[in-house]
Amino acid sequence: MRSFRYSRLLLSLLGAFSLGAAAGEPAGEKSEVHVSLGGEPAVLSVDAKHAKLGQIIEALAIKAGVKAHYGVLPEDPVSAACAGEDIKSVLQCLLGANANLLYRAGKGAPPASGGDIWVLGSSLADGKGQCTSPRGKQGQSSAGGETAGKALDPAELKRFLDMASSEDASLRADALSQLTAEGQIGDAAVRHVFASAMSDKDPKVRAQAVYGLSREGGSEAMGFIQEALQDSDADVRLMAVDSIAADDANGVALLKQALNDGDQAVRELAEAKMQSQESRAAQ
Amino acid sequence: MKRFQMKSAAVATTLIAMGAYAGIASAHTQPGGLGATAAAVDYYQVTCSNDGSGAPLSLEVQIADNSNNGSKAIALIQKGNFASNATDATEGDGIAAYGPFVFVNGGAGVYNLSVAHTAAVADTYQVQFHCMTGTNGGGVHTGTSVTNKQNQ
Repeated sequence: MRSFRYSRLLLSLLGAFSLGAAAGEPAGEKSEVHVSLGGEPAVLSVDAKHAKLGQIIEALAIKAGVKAHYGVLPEDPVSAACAGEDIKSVLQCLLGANANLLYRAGKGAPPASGGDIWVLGSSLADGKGQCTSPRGKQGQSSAGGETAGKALDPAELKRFLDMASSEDASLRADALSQLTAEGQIGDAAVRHVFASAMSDKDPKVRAQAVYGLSREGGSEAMGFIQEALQDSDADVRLMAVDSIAADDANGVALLKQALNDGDQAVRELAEAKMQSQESRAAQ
Repeated sequence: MKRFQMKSAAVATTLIAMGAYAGIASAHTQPGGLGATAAAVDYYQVTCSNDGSGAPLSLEVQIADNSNNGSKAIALIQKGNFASNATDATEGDGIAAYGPFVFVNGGAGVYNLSVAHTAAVADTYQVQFHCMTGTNGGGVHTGTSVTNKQNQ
């Protein structure tokens, strides 16, 4: 989205956070906020003098028909002039490109499209407010360990391993699904079962095999995913795409490969994951 | 060209603090696929916690059905005695063209989020979810994390 940047926020870093009265601010300075909407193409613009951020955000929200959500904001008045094609681009101009904004447009035409906008990060003192971003289907994004579960009771593990060799394909698939959910892929016997299941005659089983093996991450997982992307069954290929962690170069390469798949659902999911990753990367 | 007048370095610092959060709220978007089995279900657990922004009171969810194939993707959300479902009235109208938000006012803790579909054809979807400090999705965003438990 374009932002017509009439001004740029000048930033300097201090050693510690502090909020104080604006230095050199003339006492009794009157605050003014002027928000306008118009032109062709339509532009939302704000011209604020000595106004509090909350006041500016509320004025923009009213004009755009948007509900604004925010927590604690700095009390010091600011002066700024910004414009954009929607409220999000105007706030990015106002708060800086690194501002953490979430915008859900409504049904109307921009810039007065309605909807909601969140200005995220209400705690200024400790800078908290971090969202954990999911990485494909790899589980939580914290480093390591999330895919490894605690060791199952030996009897329980044996039960799942026996299920994994059942004559019934749905039981085999369920066993692999449970072993994956329990984080058992690191167990050597389990891993052997999953690797064998990559060539199971039933596509549901092959799909669960590739998903489970993908949870380990790394180049070997990529190899299994790449193998599954060549499977004759579209559901297996769909699961392979579903299992790709799109936040590294290898994952992106596999997604690009899947964009040329013969099955529409596989192509759709690959495209959706690429767009989702591009959107995250742009934040 | 008008200049932005920084009246206080402290303002700038706190604005940086606001913008410097490493988290990316809009990254709570989960693309996924359901295989060509009517009973296919993807099952996630979304954990709402206080990350400093405030205690969570609700989880808001919306779903985009990306496949125009006559099979609707549905997201079912449950925590304790509270449950709701999110749908997308118009399937295949564009990636991330979501249906309306729904809310479950379950407070902090683990929400069960299942995505199912209505026919035995492969479906692709995108589900978006956020833990909020107010009821019915109000307030501000707070700690949100997700684990995939079943992938079909």
